[in-house]
This record gives sequence, C-alpha cells and structure tokens, in this order.
Amino acid sequence: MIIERVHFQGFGRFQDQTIQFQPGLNVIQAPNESGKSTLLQGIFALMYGGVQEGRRVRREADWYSGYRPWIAQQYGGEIDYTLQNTSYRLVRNLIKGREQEQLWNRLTGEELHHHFSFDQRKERKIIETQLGLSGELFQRTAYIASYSDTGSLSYKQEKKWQLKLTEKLNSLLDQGDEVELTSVLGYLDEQLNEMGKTENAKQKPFGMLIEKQQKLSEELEKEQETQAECLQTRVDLQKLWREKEQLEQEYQVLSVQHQRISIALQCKAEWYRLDKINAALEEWEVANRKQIALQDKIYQLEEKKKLLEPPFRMQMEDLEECNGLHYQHQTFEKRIAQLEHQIHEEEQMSPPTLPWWKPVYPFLTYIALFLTGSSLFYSTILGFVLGTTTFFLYTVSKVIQEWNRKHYNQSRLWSIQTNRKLLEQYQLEHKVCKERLEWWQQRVGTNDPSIIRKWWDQTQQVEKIEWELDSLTREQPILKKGEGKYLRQKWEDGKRELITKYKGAFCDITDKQVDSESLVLSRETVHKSMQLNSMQIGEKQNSLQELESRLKEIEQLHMEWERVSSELERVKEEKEAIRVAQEVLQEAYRSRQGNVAPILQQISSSWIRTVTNKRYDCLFADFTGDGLSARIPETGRKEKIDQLSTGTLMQMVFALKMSIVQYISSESNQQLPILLDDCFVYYDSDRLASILPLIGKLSQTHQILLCTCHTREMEQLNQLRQTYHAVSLIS
Amino acid sequence: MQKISFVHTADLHLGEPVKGWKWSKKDVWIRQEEYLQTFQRIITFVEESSVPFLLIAGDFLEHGFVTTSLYQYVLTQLERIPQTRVFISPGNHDPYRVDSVYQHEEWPENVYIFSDRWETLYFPEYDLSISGRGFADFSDRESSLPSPIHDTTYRLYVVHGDFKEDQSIYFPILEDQLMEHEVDYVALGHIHKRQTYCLKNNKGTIVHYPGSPEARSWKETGERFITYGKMDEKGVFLESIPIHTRKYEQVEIDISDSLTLNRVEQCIQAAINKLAEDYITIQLTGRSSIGTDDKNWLRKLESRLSPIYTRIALEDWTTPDYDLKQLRTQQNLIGTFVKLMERRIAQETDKKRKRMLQAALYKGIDAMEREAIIQ
Repeated sequence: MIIERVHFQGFGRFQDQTIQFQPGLNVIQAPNESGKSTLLQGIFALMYGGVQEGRRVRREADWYSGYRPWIAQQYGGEIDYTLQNTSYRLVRNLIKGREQEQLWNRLTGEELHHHFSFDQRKERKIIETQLGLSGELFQRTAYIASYSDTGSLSYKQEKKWQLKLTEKLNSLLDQGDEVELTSVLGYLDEQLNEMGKTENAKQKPFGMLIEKQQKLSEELEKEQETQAECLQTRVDLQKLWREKEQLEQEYQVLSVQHQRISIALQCKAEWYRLDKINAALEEWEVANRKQIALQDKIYQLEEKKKLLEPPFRMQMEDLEECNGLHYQHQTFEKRIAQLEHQIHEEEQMSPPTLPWWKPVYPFLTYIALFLTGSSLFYSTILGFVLGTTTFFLYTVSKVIQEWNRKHYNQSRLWSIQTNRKLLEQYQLEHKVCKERLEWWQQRVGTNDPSIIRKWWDQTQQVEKIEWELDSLTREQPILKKGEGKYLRQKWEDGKRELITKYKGAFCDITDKQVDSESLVLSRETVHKSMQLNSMQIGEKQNSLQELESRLKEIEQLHMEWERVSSELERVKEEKEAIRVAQEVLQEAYRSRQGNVAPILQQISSSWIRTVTNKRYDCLFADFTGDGLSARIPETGRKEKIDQLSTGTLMQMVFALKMSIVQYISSESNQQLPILLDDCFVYYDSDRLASILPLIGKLSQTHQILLCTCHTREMEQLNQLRQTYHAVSLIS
Repeated sequence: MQKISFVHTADLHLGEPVKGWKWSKKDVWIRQEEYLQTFQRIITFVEESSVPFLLIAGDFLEHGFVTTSLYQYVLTQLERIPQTRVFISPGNHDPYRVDSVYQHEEWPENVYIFSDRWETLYFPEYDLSISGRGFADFSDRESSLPSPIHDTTYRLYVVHGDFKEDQSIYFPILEDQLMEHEVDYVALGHIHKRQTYCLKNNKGTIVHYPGSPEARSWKETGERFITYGKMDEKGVFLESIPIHTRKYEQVEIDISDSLTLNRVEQCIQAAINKLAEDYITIQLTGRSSIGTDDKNWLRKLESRLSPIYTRIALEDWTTPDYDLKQLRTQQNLIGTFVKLMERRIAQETDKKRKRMLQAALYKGIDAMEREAIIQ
C-alpha cells in the first residue's frame, strides 16, 4: 500500500491542506508543534475512521475530540493510495452522527464503497478488509509513535504490549489473519465485567442478583418466623376453640341448672303469691267466724240490755240528790224541832245563883280558912296573910261568878235570837227540800231513794252492756262483700294453674340446690370467661387472617426468589461458560505456541542483531507467563526482557514491530506503510546510524513516513547516501 | 373373599408455593386453584368408584402453608366420602409435628392419620391389615418397618420414604428388609415420578410410587396419575387413572431451517397444536441466526402466540449459526478451540454442565468472530 496524497478538509491544525507522499522513505522534518503527529494521526483517521474498535456501541476514538477543528465545519478529508496496482480515493467525514466513507477507483471513477457492506455498527470496514488488518493492529505494528509518548508506560504495560504483539504474530502465523488472543480474552473479560466478576460489584447483574437473592433469602427467613407464628397461632386458636367448647358446655350445664332453679324460684314465687291469697282467705274465714261470734254476743247483750233497762236511767248524782234531799228533809225537821225546843228551853231557863256565903270554891275556901285559923295560932301575921289570901280567894271568885252570870244572861238572849233566825232559815230550807222531793215525785213518780238506787244499779248494768256492745262492735272485722268468694276462687284457680304450669317442677328443688346466688355467680364467671375466650378467639382469628395473608406474600417471595435464583444460576452458568471459554482459548493457544517462536526468531533476528549492535540475536516468547527473553549469541544464554536496559528494550520493540510488519506484509501480500513518529528521538548517533540502513532497506518494500524534529536523520541519510523524499508540511 | 380396591396417591403438596411459574405473578392463584381441583377430582373418583380405602402416602398438606380456608376445603372434600377410610401417612413436607394440622385440627371419623410410629389397623371384613407411619420432622434417617404380621390374608403398608436409597435422609426403605415382610402392597410417596417395583419374595410384593397427581415442577411433565388398585388372592392389580387438572409440557422444536419469525411461529403452532390447554415450555433449539439479527425475537414470538396459547413460555436454546464441522477442520486457533471444547463436552456427563460447556463453545467462537476471525 502506497499512500500518495492526503487532503485534510479539517483535521487538527490542517484546514483544507494537501500533502503528497512518494513510495519509499518520506522524511517529514519539522520542529515540534508543527503538526507531524497530527499528520500521522490524520492519515490513520482517514484510513480507519474516528470510532473506537471492539465496542458494541459506537464510541469515538480517544483522539477524536483532540483533533476536531474548532472553527471549520468539516472534520475529515481524503486519502489517495494505491493497493495492488489499483488507485483508490477514500473520502471520510469524521463528524459524529454524520460519519461517512466513500471509496472511488481513481482511474475509473467507480464508486466502490457499496462493495463493503455495513457491519453491526453500520460501518463499512474498507481499509480493514483491503489490508486485512484492524486499525488497532495497524496502530500497534505499523504506526510507531515517539517514545516520548510511550515513555510514560509502565514496565508492566510495556511487557503486556510486547506480549500482545507476540500473540498477534502467533495468530497471524497460524491463520494468516488477525487473531489477537488478548483482545479475545479481553472481550470475554469485558463480558464477565459487564456481568460483574465478583459479588462485590453491586451495580452489575451478578452482584445485583446475589444481593437480591440474599435479601430475598433474608426476607424468606423472616417470613419463616411468620410461618412459625402462624402455626403457633393456629395451635393457640385450636386450644381456644376447645376451651370455648368446654366453657359452653359448662355454661350450658349451669344454664340448665339456672333455668331449673329459675323455674323453681318462679314457681316458688308464684306459689308464694298464691299462698298469700290462701292466707288472705284463711284470714278472711277467721274474721268471718269472729264476726259471726261477735254478732251472737251482741245480740245476747242487747237482749240482756233490754231486760235490764230501768224506767229512768239514774246517775249517781240523782241518787245522791234524792238521798240528800231525804236526809236534809229529815235533818231540817229534826233541827227545827230541836231549835224550837231549845228556844223554848232557853226562854224558860234562868241563870243559877249562890248564896253570898257560899264560896265559889268551897273546898279551897275552907282549906284557906282552916289554914288561917291554924296560922293564927301559930302567928298573927301569918294568920293575917293567910286570912287576906282567903279573902281574896273568896271575893275574887265571887266577883268573877257575878260577872259570869251577867254574861250568861246576855249570851242566852243572843242565842235565842240566833236560834230563832236559824230556825227560820231551817224552815225555809226544809220547804225547799220538800218542794224538790215533790218535783222528784212528779218527774219519775217517786222520790224513794231505794227505788232510785235500784234504778241506778240497773242503769249501771245497762251502761256496762252498752260499753261491751260498743267494744264488740268496734272489734267486729270489716269484711268486704264477696271477698271470701273471690279469694277462694282465686286460690282454687291459681293452684290449678300452677300445677298445670310447672307440673311439679318445684317438687325436687331442695334448699341446698337453690343456692341461686352462687350459681348465678359461677354462671357469670363462666360467661365472663366465655366473653374473654371469644375476645381471644377474635384476636387470634384476626392475627391468623393477617398471618395467612402474609403467607400469600411468602408465596410471592418464593416465586421471586426462584426467579432471581434461576436468573443467578443463568448468570453463573454464563460466567462459567465465559471462564471455560477463556481457559480453553488459552489452552488452544498454548497448544499452538510451538510454531511461533522459530518464525518470530527468524524474522526478527536480523533486526534484533542490528538494533542491539549484535548483543542479542534472538527473541524468545515464553507463554508460561514469563514474557519475552533475549539470547546472547556468544554464550547462548537467555536474558529476560525486563533485565534489559530501556534503550535496548526500545530497540527490541522497534525490531519486533518491524518484524511483524514485514511478516504481516509478506503473509498478506500487502506492503503496509510504516508511520514513524519521532521514534528515534532517544537513539544515540551510533544506534541511529545502525538502524537507518535497515530503514532504508525496508523502504524498498514498504512506504515509510518518518517524522522527526531533528535534522540528524536527514543528515545521516545524506551521509549514507540513502534516497528519501523530504515532505514539507507547508502546502 | 371379596376384592379389595383402593386409591393410592401422594405428594399433593397442597398449599406449597407454586414452583417454576413462568407467567404473571398475579395469576399464580390459578395454579393453586388447579391443585385443589385435582384433589377434588381424586375425591370424586373415590366417591364414584365407591373405593373403601384411600391411601395418601405423605406430602399431602405443605407444612406451614396450610391456611384456614385450605384446611376447610380439604375437610369438606374428605367429608364427601364418609364410607371411604382415608389413611394419611405424613411425609417430610407435612410431618406429624405438634404444630401440624394433623395434630391440632379436627379430622373426620373416616380419616386416620398415622403418627410417627408404625401403627397397624385390622379390617376383619377384608381380613386386611394396613400399617403406616409418618415423619416426625422434616427428615428421618432411621429406617424401620412394622412388626411383621402373618395372620392376615392381605397386608398393606402406607409410608412416605425413599425406596432403595439406603443413605437417604427421607426415611430410607431397605429392599432386603421389606422383602421379608411378605406384604401385598407398599403404598409409597416422596418420589414424584410414577414407578413400581416388584419384590422377589413369595408374595411378589408390589412397591409403588403413584407420582404427583399434579405437576409441581417442570420436571413433572405429561399426564399425572393416581393409582387405582385392586387386590385379591390372585394378586395386586394397578391401574393408572389420569387425574391432573392441567399438564406441564416441555416441547423441543428445532428451528434450524426456519429463517423467519413467521416460519418459527408456524413450527411452534404445528408442534403444540394439541397442547393448547396445558402449560407449555417451548425450547427452541438448532442453529439459528434470528437471535443475532433481532434481540427481541422471543418476545415478539410470545406476543404472537399468546392470544391462542395463554400459558406458553419460550426458551431460546438455539445456537449461533456456526458451521462447527467446518470450523473444527481449520488448522488454526479456532479449529483447536472447537476441538478442545467438543472433547470436553463429549466427556461431560452432567447435563447442566454439558449445556454450560456448549455455551462456552459458542462464547469463544463468538468472541473470536467479533475479532473478525471468521470471514
């Protein structure tokens, strides 16, 4: 393949710029930042487009935005090249969303891009098909960038990169086409990554499923508690039902008993009421009998009263008055007679008189006279004294007697007068008495006190009977008319009704059994227990209902768990399949490795000898994971590639790449152009001098575009008299 | 002596969450309802055939999932056959635990539930002894048999366990020991696949698993049965009575030659024409590139078929349209890979792992193809 011309409509700093190339070695010498790397990147972009390879989804290449012109509307250009004696023009629009590639035959003007069908990403793989080389592989083999760029690569990365190249070579040797185990493995690895390598990647399907399964398992475990709770609730509920049954039985028994007792009590109550009627009836009968007896008695008394009734009822006063009148009458008669007699006597009677000589007190006076006479014998004085005393005794008493007599006469006169007055009064009163007695006679026909007394006695007896009658009348019970008949009827009816109603139910109720209070109490206790039991049953049923509805959720959980588990199983299987595919791929690769080393050695040995100044002559690829090793020709000893200096390593890589380009080109009959971007910048003059002839030799078969910021390459080429074409970046 | 007839079933797993349901979760009740219908159908059969004995050899009511309504339903059904003696031998899914429905609920008089010890009941009118036992818990390693009874004409065992699996944790039943018992019929439960063994003893004991009467998983495809047995002096005669409400069917359809979705649809319709009433899983096999061209092809197919076949699930078992024959002859990495993979697949005996290796083969080829290997 010979790149003849590139025209950039817009790419990085190049705006509508054309650059021509020649077959063989083209040297683009220009200072830094003048667009050398842009040119090579532009050539690559026009060849392979601006989309990343190896992605299922279209994605711009890493460099895409870095070279997009700021001002120009166009991003892309055209590249003219010759391939197997045919001249092509490939026009490419790199603008995202409007990517387009057109291929013409420059000689015939025929549109050729239709011959290249779209792939899954709607891209036509033109260069890839023509060269049989992917952009990535082209970039890694024929496009050698400055080590100033790759200098930052870690040693490990570098080793990996080298190994990939070796693998590529191996694949190419195997089937003459692009097989890159690392990228195949990488692709599979990417798939593994997409699924999630470990369960820690929670955002990836595998991790998500594991997490979900764990979560569901935990939920199921929790729900198992619900299940256990549900079972326990059912057991409890069953117990409660049994308890309810027992309580109901108990209640039934108590109720029957209660009912029996209630009936008995009711019966008793009714009987009691009936008994009252009976008692009333009995009472009535007693009263009735009593009334009859009383009436007899009253009749007798009334008869007796009739017999005893006097003509006139007399009271004590009457009797006393009558007696008094008789007594007064008699008394007055006697007194009148007495007074008349007394007056008569008084009028006849004169007061008694004593002869002068007769002392009033003869004894005393005679004693005194004796004493005076005796004393005169004894003494005159004494006789005198005594004589005087005797005189006095005689005179004084005579005087007093005289006075009495006079007084007596006067009193007798006064008494006669008084008696006369009294007699008059008595006579008046006697008259009154007499008149009263006459009144009595007129009134009751007699004033005989004995008759009056008799009447009074009769009155007394009658009054007594009357009193008795009165008390008997008061004693007599008040009986309503027809009450007895009514009560008897009621009693008879009630009794008959009671017997019919209860049929002797009350007969077997003993007092002991009729402990209705304690019965009611125990019945209430049982009833309360029943209520509590019903409440508990209700609660249990509710909770059971709730738990059973949660059982349905468990079913859903189970199903979800099953789904997740089967999905997880599928992912695991897929992961395992990928892992096995990787393993078998490596195994297949290893089984074919025997062919690689000799061919690689053969091609690369001249390059290796040259770039290492004959220090090493051969490169060995070791696929056990140790990487590459180089052989020292003098001793035949192999040195591991990581033991080599960086300079040597870079030379080795360059050599290896050149070997690969040569090999790919020879195998595919496509002489690939080689793009070298300041790759000798770290080469010293000796190394540069030793490699430039090889480059010159290579340029005989391959077009080489060598970009450099130094002039020493051109100088040395001039010194070596090697032909080259200087290309200017200024159009 | 009159013939003794009986119906033998097991593994109904009533109440157990539905397994392998491939349709809308909200429709799963339909399947639960079908399990109940199957039980109802069993009872109807027993009722109509006036069978004196119904033997349920375990895993009848799923422990922990028996709701009040389910219990009531079962009770109502069992009460329909008061003349039939029902023997239930609790299994590992419905052990005879204190918290099991067997212990804490009331059962009709015609139902006898065996406890966790061997029990024997004698029926003089048939000169028949029925022995049975149940699981005490979810597993039972101890193998045991009842004391042999020799003074009855007919002997029958009802038990849930693993026959010929000496190390089983689900009540191993040892053939040698059973042989000595001279039993006429051993009604077993536990294995969902219908199977019968005839022991080489004097009685020619028949050991029988009736299988699940309604499929519990996608392994239990096709018709499901109960066993209608008759026993007389000539021996035991078993009859399979299809009892399922709805079958699980798995159909494999090779769509290698069907290049369009319409053609695939026609193939499917032709294959499942007679299975419209069943639950169908269609495994589409063969080499096909339809999946590579259209990622939603299965959904499209499902939506096309769903108006006619409501219970259909499609599974893509197709392989990418690679010519393995041609690939394995290539002298390159892909040829080597194909050969190595095919060797591994051939050596693998485990079906699941074989499928995985198959997938690995295509994963590898696909990855290499993506890297533009196959032109």
